[in-house]
This record gives sequence, C-alpha cells and structure tokens, in this order.
Amino acid sequence: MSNGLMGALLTLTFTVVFVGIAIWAYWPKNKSKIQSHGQIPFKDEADDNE
Amino acid sequence: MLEKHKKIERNSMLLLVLTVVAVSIGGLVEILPLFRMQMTIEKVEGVRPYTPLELAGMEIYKREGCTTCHSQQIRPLRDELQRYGHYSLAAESMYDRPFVWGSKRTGPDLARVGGKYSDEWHVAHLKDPRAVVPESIMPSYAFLANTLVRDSKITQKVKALQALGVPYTDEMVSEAKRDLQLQTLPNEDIAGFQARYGDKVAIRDFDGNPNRLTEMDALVAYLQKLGTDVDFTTYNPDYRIQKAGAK
Amino acid sequence: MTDIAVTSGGGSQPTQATAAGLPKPRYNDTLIKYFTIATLFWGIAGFLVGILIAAQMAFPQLNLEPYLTFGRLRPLHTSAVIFAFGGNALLGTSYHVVQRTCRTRLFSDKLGWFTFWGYQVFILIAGLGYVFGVTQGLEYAEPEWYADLWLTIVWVAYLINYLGTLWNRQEKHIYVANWFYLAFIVTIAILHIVNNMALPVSLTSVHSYSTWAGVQSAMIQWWYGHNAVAFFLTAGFLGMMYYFVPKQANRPIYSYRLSIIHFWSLIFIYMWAGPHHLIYTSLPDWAQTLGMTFSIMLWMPSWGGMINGMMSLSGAWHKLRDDPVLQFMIIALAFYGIATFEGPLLSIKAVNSLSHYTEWTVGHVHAGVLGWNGFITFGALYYLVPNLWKKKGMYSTKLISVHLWVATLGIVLYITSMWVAGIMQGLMWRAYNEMGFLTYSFVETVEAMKPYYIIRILGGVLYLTGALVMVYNVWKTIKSPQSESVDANAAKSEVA
Repeated sequence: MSNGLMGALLTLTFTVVFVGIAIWAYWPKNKSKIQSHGQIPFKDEADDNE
Repeated sequence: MLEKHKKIERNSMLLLVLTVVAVSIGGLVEILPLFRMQMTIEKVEGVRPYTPLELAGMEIYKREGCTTCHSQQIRPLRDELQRYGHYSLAAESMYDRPFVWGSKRTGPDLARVGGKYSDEWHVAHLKDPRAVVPESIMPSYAFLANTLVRDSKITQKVKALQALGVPYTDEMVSEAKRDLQLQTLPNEDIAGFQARYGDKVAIRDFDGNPNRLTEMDALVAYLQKLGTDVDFTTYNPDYRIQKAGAK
Repeated sequence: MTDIAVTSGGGSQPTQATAAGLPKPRYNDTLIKYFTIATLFWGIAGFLVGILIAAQMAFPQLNLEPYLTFGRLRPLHTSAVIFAFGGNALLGTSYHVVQRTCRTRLFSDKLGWFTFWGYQVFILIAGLGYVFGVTQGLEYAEPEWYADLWLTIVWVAYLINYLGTLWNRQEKHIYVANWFYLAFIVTIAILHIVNNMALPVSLTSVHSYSTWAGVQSAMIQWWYGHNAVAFFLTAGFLGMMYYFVPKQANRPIYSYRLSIIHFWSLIFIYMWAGPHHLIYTSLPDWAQTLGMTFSIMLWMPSWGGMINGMMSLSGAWHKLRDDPVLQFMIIALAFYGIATFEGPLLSIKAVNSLSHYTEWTVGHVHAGVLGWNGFITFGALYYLVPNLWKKKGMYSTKLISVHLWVATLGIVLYITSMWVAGIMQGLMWRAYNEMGFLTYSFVETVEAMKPYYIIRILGGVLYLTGALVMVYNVWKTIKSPQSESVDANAAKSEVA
C-alpha cells in the first residue's frame, strides 16, 4: 500500500470516528449526563463540606 | 458507536492510545514520504560533504547561534532572487545534520554568501561588525581569531557522520585530522586533499595569520563554501517537471 | 511537610455531588507549592533575559563575547520562558488538577519529587550548555543529547505518575482538563524523542549529529516545533484553563459537550500544521499545501475552545468586573483568540511570503505566550497561592489589578511594535524603485527597526514589572499570619 493511500485511509477512519464522537456528544439524550461532568472540579469541595 | 466514547473517557489507557493514534496521523502522512529521496531532493551535480575545516566552521556557526538571526534558505520570490541569488535547492542542505535554514532574518540570508566577500572582509566584519557596516547590530566575534580550533575529536566527528550516511570515504575519515590543517596550508602537498574533496575546494589561509589554525579560519572557510557547490549555469530547474512528464 | 487537603467554606457551588460516603482524600500540596515557586522564579529569570536580548538588538554594544551574545542568549530566553516558566506551571498545575478532579492523592510522592528536581536539573544543564556554546542548533530543541536523555527519563516518570493517579481515581469520569494534560504529556514525549534522534560524536563528547538531514530535518524540526506550540503551549495550558476558569468563576465550563469536540479536533488537526513554517522553502509543495490547509482549519477548534472558556461566565459577567484574577483568565482567552486567528492568517502563502523571516512572527508568538500562556498561568497561580498556603485570599487584590494592567500595557506595546516592524521589514525587503532595482539595501532595513526595538524593550520591562509585583504579592501572602481555611473565592468576594 502506498503512503498516500494509507494516509487517506487513516484520515478517513479518523474522520468517521470523529463524526461519531460529535454525534454522541450532541445526542439530546446524552446531554444532561455529559454536561454533569462539568461539576467534577467542584466535587472535592463538596466532600469537605460533609 | 455512541456508547464507545463512554469507554474512552472511563479508561485512561484507551484515552492514551487513541490520543497517540490521533496525533500520529498528521506526522506520518507528512514526514514518511520525504524519505523517498528521489521525489524530495532534486538531482544536482556538485554538492559535496563538508571538509573537516568547514565542518569545524559549521559547528562554530551553530554554537554561536548564527541561525537565530541568519537564514540559509532563499525563497523563489523575485526580490530574494535579486538580493541573494538562485533559490535554495533541497540538495544543497542534504549534508546538514541538522539543517540550518533558520527562521528569522535579523541579518541577511547566508545561503549563497560564499565568494561574495573577501576573506579579509569577513575577518574584519566578524572582529568588529560596526567598523565595516556602521548600522550593523551584529555582536562582535573577535575572540574567534584568538581561539585555536580544537581538533581532538575531528576524526570521530567525520566518522559519526559517515555512520549516519554522509558519503565520507574511509580515507577521508583516517585523514581528517591532517586535512583539517591542510586546507589552510596551500604550500604543502595538497594533492591528496584535493583528490578527496575536489579541486574546487578553497585552500588558503583564511584569517590572515598563516601560523595558526584558528576558529576564524574555520568559520570563514565555512561561510566561503556556502552556496558554491552547484553550478547554476548548467543546473536544469525543469528536472522535476521533466521527470513528472516522463512518467 | 504540610500535606493537608485544602478545605473549603464556599458552599454555594451549583454542585450536584453530595457524594457522601466517599473517603476523604488527602492531597500532596507541598509538591505543588514547590512548582509554584519554581514557576515564578524561572518566569522572572526568563523575562529578564528576554529584556536583555531585546536590548542587544537595539544596542549591540550590550553583547559581551563570547558568553553573553544574542546568539547564545536567545535560546536561554526561549527555554527559560517556555520550558522553565511554562513547564513548571504545567507540571505543577497538572499535578494539582489531577489530584482534585480524581479526588485522590498523587500516585507516587517519590516520583513527584523526582520529576520536580529532575526537571530543574534539566533546565540547569540545558541553560548552562547554551552559554558555553553547547547546542544542537535546533530551535526550541537546543539541548544536546545527554540533556535530552535525562529529560526523557524525567518525562517518563511524569507520565507514569500522572497515569497512576488517574488509575487511582475516585471519580468514574476522567475530567476533560486531564485529557488535555495527558495529550500534552504523551505527545511531547513523542515529539521530543523523534526530533532529537542523534548520534553522539562519542560518549565523552557533548556534541552529536542529527539522524535527520536537510529537508527531512527541517520537516521533522517544524513538526516538532509547531507541535511544541500545540501541545506544550496550547493543550497543556487548555488543561489549566478547563480547571481554573471554572474554579475561579465558581461555575462549570460552559459546554462540556463542546470540550469533547474541542479536544479531539484540536489534537488531530494541530499535528498537520508544522509545514507552515517552511512555506516557499525547499520542502516539497504538497507538504507546504497540507500544512497551510490544516493551519486554516485549526482556527475552528481554537475558537471553539476560547468561546467555551469565555462563555462559562455567561449569566455571571458581573464577576468579571470585581475579580482581577478572572480578568487575567479572560484576557488570556482573548489573546488566545487573537493568536489563533493570526496564526492561520500567517500560514496563507501570500501573507507568509511577506511575514516569514520578519519581526511579525516574533510579535505573533509573543501575543500567544505573553498574553495567553503568561496570563492564564498568572491567573491559575493567583488562585492556587491562597489555596495552597491556606490563606483567606491574596495579600492585595489591588496589586493583582496593578499587575494585570501593567502587563497588558506591556503586551500591547510589544505586539504592536513588532507588527509594525515586521510588516515594514517585509515591505522594505521587496520594495522596487522605478528603475526595477531593489530600493533598500539590507542594512537600511536593519536601521529602520531601531525605534521599534526600543518600544519592544519598554513592553518587556512593563511585563517584568507586573511579574515582580506578583512576586511581592505572593511573598506577602505566604508570609501573612492569616491562616483561616477559607476558600479563595469566598475571600475574594469579601474583598470586592
């Protein structure tokens, strides 16, 4: 396989995976779960408040 | 597909591996093909490896950070061709390890500085740039004229380059120490030296002091070599185009 | 050794996590304190050398041969600010963030201390090498083979320690800041190893020859060089941004979904952009074109990240008015936006033919490093210092403001002078008179730079002045007797 073809295939594969990730991230059903990860930086303080 | 990403973000090793894959593609696609020489470096006559003295000069060039202010890469733009000469060919830097193209022109490009000025000019300019060019902001390098070339490792240096694929012959390696001296001694028997490096090589005292082999000798010998390998009166710039057409 | 977890009184976070029953983690904060001090120390040192070499360009008599010439000091400046100042900031904050977001102690304290001291040793042997003329001559990869090997060992220890901490985490999800830090660590390792492949002249020689020659060497160097910008100065600092902006603003990141897209697109696209440093050179055209194309594409993820950071304040913009630390972070993001807009612009062939080799490039880089990297670091440190040393807040909020505005003025002077200088330089080089000859000799273009070089020095001095104000403020904070365990945010709102 030539370098060019391999490059094209790799790029294509990555693009497909990337589009998959994008769809997953913006799938309405996943919204609340994913957005909730944004709270992680505040959790260690919550611990201390107990 | 949709559930996959959950795994990625839960599994640090998977995240690591996918990151490595993602960041590797660009580099692989851009770098690997360059190692197929024939399409990267045009075939030209005359490019030769550095003599031991020029090699010592190039090390001084790197050591002093000359690359921080001087490029060695002429672009194919009208003003650059007029100011500096023919645009740089890939072949001309094929023995530079690493390359010294530079990225900034606080001072002028030096890719074709060889032969443009006399040795005396270079020595005077390096010793005190503003004595020659009043507006220059270059540091002075007078100490080079008082510093002897350290030659204890020159054989090993040529040998290391040979090991990396630079076409130095075994004879060039074994004679390196002698050749380092010979290039500034035109009255000695220089036939062997010329046979090894070609008769175009400049053989003379460069720093105006024939009794000592100084770093000034080495740096000026290097500068005077720059851009002089290829004879552009016979160079055929359509080489690549012709080759593509012949396919 | 005071390895006590920072406790917090600021109970007003919009947090969902009551997380009862999880064991209370204890963090290694002492190590972070050391990195904080090292960051400030190397920052001052790097800025000082920067001012010196800027002055050497205006007043060449300041070059003292053989050791203190521009050519030897310029790598000292770039290494000191990027790898010493930036590097210590990245190592320190990454160790802080990974512990907090995984709610677990550092995987290994010993490895932590090894990375701290090992990294300082690397900086010293590399920096001393430049002054004494030991260099590979590769921009941003000047250290010779022995220093490179040492850094590799330190870096592997860092990677193990980081991964180990991730493995020990008490939180299912790996917070996105850690993705950026992890990408920074592993990609820098790859870049460092590939670009520095070299054969030492002998085991007793400090010199080596590169495995790569000519065009290949150029391509690999700028694949390295540009991605040192991408992963050292961008991904790593974005990790910082994704933790400290939410913490300082006391609000979660605007869109966590966007941060996922931001991450994958950024790390993928960046790696292609290297050849834009080699436009119109002997590098084959196809590689130049790829580099240009991907550089332009890069504009999107970069601004996506910037918007994500800035919008975290949406609905709470009033915080920006009162809190100079937040101002540091938001101005940092603004400069990130400027630099990542200018970058794609400069990689367009027609623009590059004018800008390449000129001071414009220098101005562009400094918009990024002084504005983005410097300011986000200062912001993170202003957050960290009261937290680590358990103070109510910084000694003086007013002095933070002074730092902010003095430094901002410094950056403005720096980048505007270099923009004007660079564009003028490029235009003078290509100017023709009516006879068809070049109008200017090279040295005339050198002479024309002088006023701008002087303005640039002034910009640098202001930036350093701001940093010295910060050092004073940090010093007074550490020495202050107040030691109530109050969250920095809560303290700040009291002050304001």
